[in-house]
Amino acid sequence: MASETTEWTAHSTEPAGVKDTLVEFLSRKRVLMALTLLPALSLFVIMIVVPVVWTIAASFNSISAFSPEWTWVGLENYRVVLSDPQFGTVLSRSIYFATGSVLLQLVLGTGIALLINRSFKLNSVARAVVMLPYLIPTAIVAYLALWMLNSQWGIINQLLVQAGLINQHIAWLGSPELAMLIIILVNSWKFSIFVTIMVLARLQGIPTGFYEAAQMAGASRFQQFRDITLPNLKGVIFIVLLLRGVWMFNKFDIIWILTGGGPINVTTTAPIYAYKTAFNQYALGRSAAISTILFGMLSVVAALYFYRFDPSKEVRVE
Amino acid sequence: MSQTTSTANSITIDTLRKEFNTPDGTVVAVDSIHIEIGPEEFLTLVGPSGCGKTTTLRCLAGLETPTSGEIRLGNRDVSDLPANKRDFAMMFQNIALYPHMKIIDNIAYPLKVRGVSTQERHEHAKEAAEIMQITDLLNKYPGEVSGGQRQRAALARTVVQNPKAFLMDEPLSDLDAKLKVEIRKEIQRVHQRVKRPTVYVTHDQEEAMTMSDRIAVMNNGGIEQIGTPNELYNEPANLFVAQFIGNPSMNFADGTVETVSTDGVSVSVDERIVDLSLNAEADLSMGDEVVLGFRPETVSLDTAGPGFEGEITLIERIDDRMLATVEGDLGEIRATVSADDPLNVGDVVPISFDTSHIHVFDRDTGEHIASGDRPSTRRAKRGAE
Repeated sequence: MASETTEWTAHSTEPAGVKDTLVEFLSRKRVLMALTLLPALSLFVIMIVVPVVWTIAASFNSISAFSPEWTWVGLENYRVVLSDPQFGTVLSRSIYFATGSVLLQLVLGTGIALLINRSFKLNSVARAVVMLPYLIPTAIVAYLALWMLNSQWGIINQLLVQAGLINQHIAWLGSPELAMLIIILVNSWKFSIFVTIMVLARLQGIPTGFYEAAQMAGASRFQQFRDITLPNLKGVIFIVLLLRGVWMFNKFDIIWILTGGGPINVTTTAPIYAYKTAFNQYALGRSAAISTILFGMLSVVAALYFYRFDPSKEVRVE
Repeated sequence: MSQTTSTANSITIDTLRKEFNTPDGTVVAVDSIHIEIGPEEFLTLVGPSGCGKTTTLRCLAGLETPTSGEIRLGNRDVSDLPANKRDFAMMFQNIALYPHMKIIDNIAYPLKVRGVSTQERHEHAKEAAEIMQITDLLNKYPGEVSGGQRQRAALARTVVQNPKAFLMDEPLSDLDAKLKVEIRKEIQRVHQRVKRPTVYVTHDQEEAMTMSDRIAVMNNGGIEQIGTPNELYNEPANLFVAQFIGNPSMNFADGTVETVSTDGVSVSVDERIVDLSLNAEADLSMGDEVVLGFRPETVSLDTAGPGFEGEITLIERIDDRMLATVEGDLGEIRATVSADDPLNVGDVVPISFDTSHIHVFDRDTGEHIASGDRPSTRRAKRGAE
């Protein structure tokens, strides 16, 4: 290290002293650690730690939307939220939405990944097309779906009637029975691709030698999938379940645009409920309490999940 | 049982051809080769990288589809049978144990796909592990054991499969020299035990020479020569085989035939005359351009012969021998001499070679024309006839 430094300064035209001191300063372990960690750390603090702490603090106060005054109310907000029978309902809706979405995305995403992992003509075109939905902003996906599902002019109703599958137009998002199912479907159209990307990356990391060895041992296609592909995907499926589960539980944008929580609240999941509490009822403190409860629940679930599955082991590649 | 299975188990590679389509056009990896492998034979495909030996093996395995030609097991054409239906076991260079399975399950895998119960296949795996001396590793994962142990497990896996034939694709390339010798012995032990046709691919002529019943030397997608290790060493069919087989490799010197008589042939090399007594098949005439080949162990550096000399540029000690590199009239010549010889780098020494062990090749075609007339080969030839 030292010899490198002297060599480097020997070639430079600037006074050796200044550069030497600078290099020496930068070479110090603590300085280097601070400099490399600082950008990420400050971003983390500003984007995550501050809002979280702010929300938790807010949850103990009564806050009106029209005055900057915070009034300390202790656990009152929590008492109100937890005693509200609606809270249990929105929680179960969130779980329903998250579970449905994640399962659908996992099956679709893995299926697509397995398909485009095989080599065929125009494979690269197929890959590019498959990736497209993930590049479209969620809001645009939602508005497109809104138009396609429109009960009067929507193309989906049009096609289904023409195909003779239905007799009259259906108000997909206006029907309390269908609305939740539809938002799960629309949501999965875009986010399955996330699973595809993750699974495809893993699939391509599986050495072909494994499959060849299995073939030589007499393994059929199904046995190769069961004994090689699936075990190798375990780690990535684990991560996908966790990430998608948390993100879907917290999903707000696509639901809000498609249904706004309706009809008659059947798609009001926990995040929508928190939003409505804040901006329809102007109970910012109570909304913060809801968010804090959700945050706590997800933390517990994630911790249990990591404890049970030991991701460092599961994600291990070789 | 042995009678029927043994004939049914011979393998024929019949005019096999394999082309690959690349952006630059069609590349012929294997060009109409024909090999027959006996029911208990250990045959090695050896050659430089890119010679087509691995492609041949992969066609045999069913991992590649031949462009034309047939693979036969006994009298049965298996060319269209997929790899998982051929029941050939294979060892790979990169080992290919499954990292998510314990060693025992890796070894037992061929039985798992046949639907053998867990208990029974673990018993078989333990037996095979005992032969390979890896019983204490059975409950570890491949990532936790050494390269040599992994290759032992891979070998055990092929044994458990009890296949119709063994295919090995450079299984020792990634191991260090000592392990190579060790696992080499294990492979030979397995072969002697199970007596199935074994096709072994390597670029290492030493492995080929020590393990094989017969060797096929490949080059540019074709076979240069097939024969026993002795045949390849003593009667190379051409210059390529002569320089590929044997380590250190054969020395070569260009010459021109001066006179041909009943007594022998004299060849001028670097303006000096070398008198040769060649075997009966020699077909040479005056003015033929030839290459003389002679192995380092037939070179002597202390007796004056036809008058060649050179300066010693390098001395490498190998056990009780020395390999001396001499730069002189014949170009660069390598000689193995006794380590006791008082030779030093810089010495100028006479070079002579035992003409009874000489090989004469056609300089244009590289084909072998004649060998030195040595009593031993003559006797062997007569015995063979």
